Amino acid sequence: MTRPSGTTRSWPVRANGLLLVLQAAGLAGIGAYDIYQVDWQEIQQQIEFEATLSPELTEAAEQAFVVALILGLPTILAVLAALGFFLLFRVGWLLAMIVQALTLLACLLLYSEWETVLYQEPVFIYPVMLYCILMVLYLNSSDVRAAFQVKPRAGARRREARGL
Amino acid sequence: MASKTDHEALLRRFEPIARYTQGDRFFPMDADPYVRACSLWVGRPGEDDVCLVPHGKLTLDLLAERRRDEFGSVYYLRFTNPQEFKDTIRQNARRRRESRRDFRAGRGRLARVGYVSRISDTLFSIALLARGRVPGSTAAAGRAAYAGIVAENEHYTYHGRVLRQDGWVVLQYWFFYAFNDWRSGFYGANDHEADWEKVFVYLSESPSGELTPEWTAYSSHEYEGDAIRRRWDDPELEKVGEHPVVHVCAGSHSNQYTAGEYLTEIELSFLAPLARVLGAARKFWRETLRQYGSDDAEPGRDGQKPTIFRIPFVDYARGDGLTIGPGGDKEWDTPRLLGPPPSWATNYRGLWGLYTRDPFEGEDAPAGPMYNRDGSVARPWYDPVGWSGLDKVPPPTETLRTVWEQRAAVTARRAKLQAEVEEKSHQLRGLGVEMVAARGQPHLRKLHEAHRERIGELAEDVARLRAQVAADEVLSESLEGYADRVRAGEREPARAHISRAQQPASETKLRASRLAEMWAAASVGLMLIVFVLLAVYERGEYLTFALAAAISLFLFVEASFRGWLTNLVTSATVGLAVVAALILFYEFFWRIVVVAVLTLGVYILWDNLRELRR
Repeated sequence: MTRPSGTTRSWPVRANGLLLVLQAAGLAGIGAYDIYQVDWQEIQQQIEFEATLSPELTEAAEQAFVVALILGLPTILAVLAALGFFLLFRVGWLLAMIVQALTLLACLLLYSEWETVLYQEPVFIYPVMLYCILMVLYLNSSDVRAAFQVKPRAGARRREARGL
Repeated sequence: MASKTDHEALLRRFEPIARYTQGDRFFPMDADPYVRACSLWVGRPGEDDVCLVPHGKLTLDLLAERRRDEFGSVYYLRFTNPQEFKDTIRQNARRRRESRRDFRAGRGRLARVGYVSRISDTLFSIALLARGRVPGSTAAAGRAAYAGIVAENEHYTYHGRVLRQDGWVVLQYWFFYAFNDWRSGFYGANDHEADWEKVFVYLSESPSGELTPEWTAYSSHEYEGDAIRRRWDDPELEKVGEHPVVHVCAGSHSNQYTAGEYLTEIELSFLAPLARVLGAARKFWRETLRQYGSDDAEPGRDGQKPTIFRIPFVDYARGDGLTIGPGGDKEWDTPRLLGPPPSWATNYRGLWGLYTRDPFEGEDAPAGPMYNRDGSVARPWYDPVGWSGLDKVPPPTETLRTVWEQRAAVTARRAKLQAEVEEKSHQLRGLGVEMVAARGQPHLRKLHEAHRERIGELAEDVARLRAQVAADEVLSESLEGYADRVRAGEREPARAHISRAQQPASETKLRASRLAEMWAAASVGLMLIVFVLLAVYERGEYLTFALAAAISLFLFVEASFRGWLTNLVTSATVGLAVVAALILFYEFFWRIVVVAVLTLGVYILWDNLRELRR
């Protein structure tokens, strides 16, 4: 990993780091909430005493599993991206964009196919989508890009090398 | 007026050294033996072409005969007749394969450009089947015919012309090639019989008559203006003594200042409207939304036509082949002078080789040094100074005089403006006094209104004139400063006039792996095959996902090879964000409207209350 040379930890960089931490916390919270909603004791009891699970409990457990699965990866990457921003690693910005892409992809997948994978409409996707859209605009704004694009352009490097 | 001998001596003093690429087979030659090997034809609209002078009978004098014909007729030469050279072509096939080994393309042009360009290239190649083009065997016949001329009389000749324009002495070196085999020999855009290229050297003349080289301009495809011009002290301009070095591109004979491999992009201008729409969208994205965007993709810069569909070709100017000129492998023969213009140059306005009726004209032979393909006089001939953008630059011996003249003109203009300002200010004051006097007198209402209107106009005029006077004052000071710098011998930076010079491909680009090159060559075809297979074998609910996955995979591999992963991730994320935004609009349209109106209301309230608190 390379650091953007000569970069100081500017305000947009710090803000992005914090926003990514917030995003990671939010995504983890959604996953945790879904898992918390499932009555695991009831599941345990049904498995122990009846050896089968009721359809409602099965659906709830499946939903929690699916949501945790598709939000798990962006959550972990968001933490890494936030670290990248705080430690000024160039890869942080790319990771942050990948986090937004994965989260948006998960939301779009849940939006279009929720009836086949979930038993109730996942309303959390709308605020998450809005958050991601704003994050994409902010990450791609000139200020933030400039903070992570300090290398001179290839053309400039060539000219410099040629002494022109 | 200087004599022919003087002109020849001058041309020889600064004659260029031409460095060719290994594998190139055509070199500058005298127009006379070429014409003797040609037949003369005319193509009239709606009729079969007619041979006017058969092979072996044509001479420069015959070519110079004035001919009258109906509108739309095109006169052209035919250098080769593949039927005549059938045996020679067959005999030379093996030798040609061997000579091909002299030239290795290296990293292919397709590996240097993106998908859009590659798909455009495929369409361009398919279009060649429908467009008029030089038949495949013509290049081979051209090589055989040229080899025949060289075997009879090996010579390396340029056509030279010396003229004066705008205080400059212009030395024109016209290189005539029997054939342009860029497409068939070097994976380029076109083939055509005959090729006229040029190198100009611009000299300044001191009061004592001493000539000093100041600038050069090399022809390169259809480029003109500042970009093709280099100052004599520019480090990019290679020289041996007083001889500028030209790196000639293989096949196309385009001229370059530095040895290397150049990516030349042919633009399809008919797609310009589409590109303008894209440019507007990009401008909105960058300027209104203040989002990051690549400068390279920005259209309309440096005179480039705004189009995204550019077809890439590589111009190989390696300089590792034959060198012609002083101290080179071969010396130039005595130049053939074009001044005063010989009758074959002035009277023959037709094409110097096969007329293929190609709508893009790329495969049609060029006209002579004096004319364009449509018979109009070519700019490099009648305005060589303007052709290279030098018309705005005075020769060094005249710079100071030009600066003083300009300063005197600005001073005179300023004095005139100042007088006008004074006169109008006087008028303005008078009208102002009259208006005040008329105020409060009902019977002078009309006069009062007319004065008010006139005062408004005059005040605007005076303000504009004062601004011009102020600007002229600053300009006058700048001219004085510039004159001081000129007197002190200071010169502008040698490359100040170049905004975007052609640069050879960097070493890093050329060092791409063989795998990347193979991928570039195979990817477009492979992608189409995968699409067809998916459409045939996967028609179920997963077709969309399979297609999306296939496209993603191709894009990912491509981006990895080209180092564009960041751009790909950004584009994909922005695309997903746009889709998500549309969904949010669709799901919550009225709520979004309500929130927007509420926000606006709160903002207005806050803004007004804030004003009250001040």
